[in-house]
Amino acid sequence: MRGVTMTEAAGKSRLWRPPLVGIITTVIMLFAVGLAHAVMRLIEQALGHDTTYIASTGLGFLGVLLLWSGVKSRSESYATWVGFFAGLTIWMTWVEFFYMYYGRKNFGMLPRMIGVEVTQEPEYLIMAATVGVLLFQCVYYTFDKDTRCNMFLWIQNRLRLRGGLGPSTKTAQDRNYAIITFMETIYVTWFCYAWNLLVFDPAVVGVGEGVRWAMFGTIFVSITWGGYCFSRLIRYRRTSTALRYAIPTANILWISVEVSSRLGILTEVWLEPQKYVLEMSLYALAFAVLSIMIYRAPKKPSEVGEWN
Amino acid sequence: MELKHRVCRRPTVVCGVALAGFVAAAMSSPSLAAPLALRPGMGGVPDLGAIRCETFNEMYPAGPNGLRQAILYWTEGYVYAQTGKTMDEFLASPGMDIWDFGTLTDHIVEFCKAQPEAPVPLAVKDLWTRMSPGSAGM
Repeated sequence: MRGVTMTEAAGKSRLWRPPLVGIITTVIMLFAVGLAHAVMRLIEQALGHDTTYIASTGLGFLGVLLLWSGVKSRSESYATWVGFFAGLTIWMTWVEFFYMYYGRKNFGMLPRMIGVEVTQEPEYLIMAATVGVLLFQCVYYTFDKDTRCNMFLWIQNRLRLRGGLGPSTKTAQDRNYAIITFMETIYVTWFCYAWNLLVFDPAVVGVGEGVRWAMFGTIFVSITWGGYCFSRLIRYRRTSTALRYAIPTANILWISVEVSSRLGILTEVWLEPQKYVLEMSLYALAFAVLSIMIYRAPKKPSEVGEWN
Repeated sequence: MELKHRVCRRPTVVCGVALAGFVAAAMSSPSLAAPLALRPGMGGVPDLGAIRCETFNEMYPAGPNGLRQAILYWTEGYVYAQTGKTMDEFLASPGMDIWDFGTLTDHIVEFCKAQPEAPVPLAVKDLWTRMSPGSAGM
């Protein structure tokens, strides 16, 4: 399936223009985060934990295969979608399920509790410990002159690094969007998890009333930062670029969802897909319809590999 | 000198001693002791003997092997209190070769699954009745 090019249809389209592209891509990515949670739960319930640990190795390789097809493609649109799904698959299988195996089974860790309620499973206790690894990669991207990530570019400008780093060695045509989106998906997910886990860690934020303030502060930062990203995103016209920018936008906004759930403000239906079948079916349907709409939306020639 | 003399007047000393005694009594009073808590950030519960099987069952999927290890420690303490022997010494007796990490902890997991309202120590006591000399084993 290939999108209609911008030259053919974009001019005529009254639909595929700002702010619709930004709004739909953000909604798609918000749905994707919820659905990814639900898919993980369904895999765990369908296979059982022990089988899931074994299957996750193979499922991760499916993600690599997907990535391989994206890396070969000249279509930026296809490469972006495939990079995103490959990133999501590998995060779920080789990161979350592997941590689950090590935490729950291999290391024999216990979940964190508040009273008689489990509040943090062992895989997330391990994940919280990866914050140093996350930060050293953050250092790499901060000093990488080829990065096109808006946040790192902003940091580089503030640190007056652009002159010292020199011009980027890559043009838009040189970039492989599958691997870029793959890494972006994984890195953004990791970053947002780490942020959440730090806020939920009583050893970091303490116990008592201070925790609530930390959580409200997090919701404020999440909505402000995510809202700022969203305000930029709704000006996007290229669907592939919008899709890539929607990944951090939705994930940053999602932090407020996670914290609100911890505060008891909302129910995370995606964590119990078997209980909320109707809700999750509608959720999945909406995700599929919107994704197909975006995939079929008019594209600029550069998005479908037609470089002049 | 005069000030020192004033402070040490008899009613002051009596009141001071009474106050110190009251504070000491209040601090040592069991009714005012804070509930036992783990250090912030740690996993698990502070006292496995204080929870019910429903909490055990809630924790189990999120940390099956850790919980088995924790309840094994608790059981080992129970066995030591009953016999003065370590678990290995106790299991060295004839007919005890059916017990290992799996079977010991399986018994407690199955007990809690069947009786979620029961306190966890009851599961250990039930295991003890199966293990103790003279019983028929599992």
